Amino acid sequence: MRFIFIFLAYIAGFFGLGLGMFIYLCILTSLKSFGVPYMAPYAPVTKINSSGYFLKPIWEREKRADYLNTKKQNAQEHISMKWKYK
Amino acid sequence: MTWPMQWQFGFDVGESERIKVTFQFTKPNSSGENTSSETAPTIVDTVEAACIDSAVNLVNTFVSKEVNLSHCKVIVFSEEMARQGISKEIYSLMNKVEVRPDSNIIISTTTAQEYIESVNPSLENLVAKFYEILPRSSEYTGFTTDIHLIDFFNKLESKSEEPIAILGTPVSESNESGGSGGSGSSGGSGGSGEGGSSSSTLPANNGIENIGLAVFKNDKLIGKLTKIETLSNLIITNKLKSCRLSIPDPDDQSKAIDFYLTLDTKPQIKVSILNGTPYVNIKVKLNGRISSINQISEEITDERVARIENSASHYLQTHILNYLYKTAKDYKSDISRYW
Amino acid sequence: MTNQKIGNFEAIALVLTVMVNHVVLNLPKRIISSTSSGTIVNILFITIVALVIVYLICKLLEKFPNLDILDIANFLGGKWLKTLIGILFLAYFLFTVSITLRSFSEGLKIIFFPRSSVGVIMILFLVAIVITNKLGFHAIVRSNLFVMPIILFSILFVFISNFGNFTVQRALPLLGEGAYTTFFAGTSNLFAFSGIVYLYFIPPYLKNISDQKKISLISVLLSGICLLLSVATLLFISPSAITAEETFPLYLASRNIEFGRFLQRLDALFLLIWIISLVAYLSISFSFATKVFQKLLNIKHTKWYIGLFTLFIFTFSLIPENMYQIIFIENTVYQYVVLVIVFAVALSLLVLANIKYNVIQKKKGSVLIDKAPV
Repeated sequence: MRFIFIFLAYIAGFFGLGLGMFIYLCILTSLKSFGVPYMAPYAPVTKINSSGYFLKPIWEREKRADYLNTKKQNAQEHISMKWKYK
Repeated sequence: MTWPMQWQFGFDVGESERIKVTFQFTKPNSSGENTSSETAPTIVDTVEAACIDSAVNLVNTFVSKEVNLSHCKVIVFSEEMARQGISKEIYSLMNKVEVRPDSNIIISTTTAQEYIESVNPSLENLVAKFYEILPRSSEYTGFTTDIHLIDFFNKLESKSEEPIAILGTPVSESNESGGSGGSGSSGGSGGSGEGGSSSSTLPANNGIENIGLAVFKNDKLIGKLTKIETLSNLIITNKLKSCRLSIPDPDDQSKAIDFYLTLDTKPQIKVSILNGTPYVNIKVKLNGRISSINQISEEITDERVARIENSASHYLQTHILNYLYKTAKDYKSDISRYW
Repeated sequence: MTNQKIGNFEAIALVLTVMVNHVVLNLPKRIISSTSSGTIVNILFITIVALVIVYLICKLLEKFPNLDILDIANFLGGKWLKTLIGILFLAYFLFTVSITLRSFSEGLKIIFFPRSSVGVIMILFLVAIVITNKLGFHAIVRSNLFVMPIILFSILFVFISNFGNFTVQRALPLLGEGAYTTFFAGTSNLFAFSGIVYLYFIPPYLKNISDQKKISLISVLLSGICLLLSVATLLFISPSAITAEETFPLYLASRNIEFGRFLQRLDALFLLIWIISLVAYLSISFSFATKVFQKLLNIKHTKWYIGLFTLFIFTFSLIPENMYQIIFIENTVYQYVVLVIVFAVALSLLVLANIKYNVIQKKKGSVLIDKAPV
């Protein structure tokens, strides 16, 4: 992969790098991993429910990820730690 | 292959051709080897040509790498050439995409070649770094200003103001004439303040000094400003950041008081037309901190402070008025930008 | 894959990409030269006019949900009108791709590749366009979504960094050469909002058709803000330096950016960002051109004629012989092409289609519209 960019930079400098970067970005956005777009949730833009970079504590992760297109959105109830309030 | 080393170039009036262009390059592979006490050696080449492109073409024939104008930090014009008019060169430079618009414009009181050859930085390894840092000294000296190519070009094209440029002098020349940027002023330091005198106390091998401004009328050099006149220009145009100034002590003219001046607020300028002529009213507020006085601070009374304030105000007012009359009446060049 | 829809953000980025790329080229300079210091007021005025027009377009499209302008033309005038409108928009997309490609390549040649042939630079662009189009429309649209915030930030950054060099007095007199030039003659500057053409084609691709109005208004508003920022940057810095140079005025503005001695010479970074954005814009326009062709001839697979279109674009972009012709086509011809096709023809079509819809609804009570498969 890096050799392609080296070659593009050799041919056309910054311009070649820019073209290579955009083509690479298009390839990434066209990929799918087990039916889920590779660049989700950024492209296509979907709600980051319980996935993403900043995660909530396990007991607060109520909804499943939007890009999975699941039948049931809720993974757990609103109060999941029932023993705490008994 | 273009040459990545930074460089500068200067223009003089040519003998056999229209212009004489001097190029200064930093010698490659030398910046890493030198210790901090030595300056990287530079190469100075001079060619005569009809225009900049021809000059660059000529230099490319005997220099192994292609000269690229995007690395130029400073463009020097000789005084002789500036008096004849430099619009052709400025337009040529602005027309080139590779010339950086933030290159400094310097008018040398001698030839540009002499100016460039005199450069001898003592605290930097690279001459280019020296050229980059030196114009920024205007932020704390107040004796010059940081003029870029784009500023010069804009003022050249503008109908409401005239261009100015940094005035530079090789130190050997300034020591001979007793002042730089002035006209026949006598040397002196300390006691007499910094009125019209502009003595150079730099050691002879320190290279160049940029003190004063070159005033233009359209594209021709029309006059020069001394240190204090340059300071007045900076105050009026709200470009003064800070400076140190020595003013005669009102109680003892043989002694001087040193101030650290900063501009408090933007000068208020009001222009009205009286009897068909413009009447300009300028209100300047400066903040001065006394940095040295020949008295201990407990002995300085309120009346003394008031006398010093009045004396300083009167001193600056006189010099600012002299500067305004000089540019308006003598040079007929509006560089103060009353708007 | 072919049944996937695009979301709101992607649609907004799609419309915005046209404005952003033309702002990098000669658009701000063209507008400043027509309205001088009244440009700021003129842009505010044409943004409001564009918002009104877009609102009108959305209202007219309400009766035809999930239909693009070709289907509406088919409803209005049958197959012959659909073919005519299709050829018109196909020619429009190919024209804009060709001229934008040639203009940007000439600029790149002047700045970066003075000894290269402009054809070589264009070929590199076209190779990238062919590859991205073979990957699919959705790949390009999603990539564009990534690139768009960076480009918008770059335009904002150029504006903010040049703040110290601004002379606000250059915006005076506010009305420039008079109210007539600013408001009436200056209305022709509406061609700056040529991104509206995508609004006619994206309804079948939208996830939520009810968001169409929101997408349209937000994208036009952001386009107006982007145009205002870039024009303000150029107007306040140095009009004479801008008019002296024919290539990339915003690039020249970015060359003034300097933060102390550490951040200098950022213009190369901006050019990299703008190159990526241009490839995205050209890919999108090219993709729409292939989709129009596909719809006109009911072709199932687009991939075999992408290369043919590329050759056609390359040939067309080599027609202008010199920079003067390119500038003439970009400034004058393009302006009238946009005003006629994007505004006059398309709006008239929508109005007539709405009238026909109302007439049929009054007579028969319900209206059946044929929709070609996407």
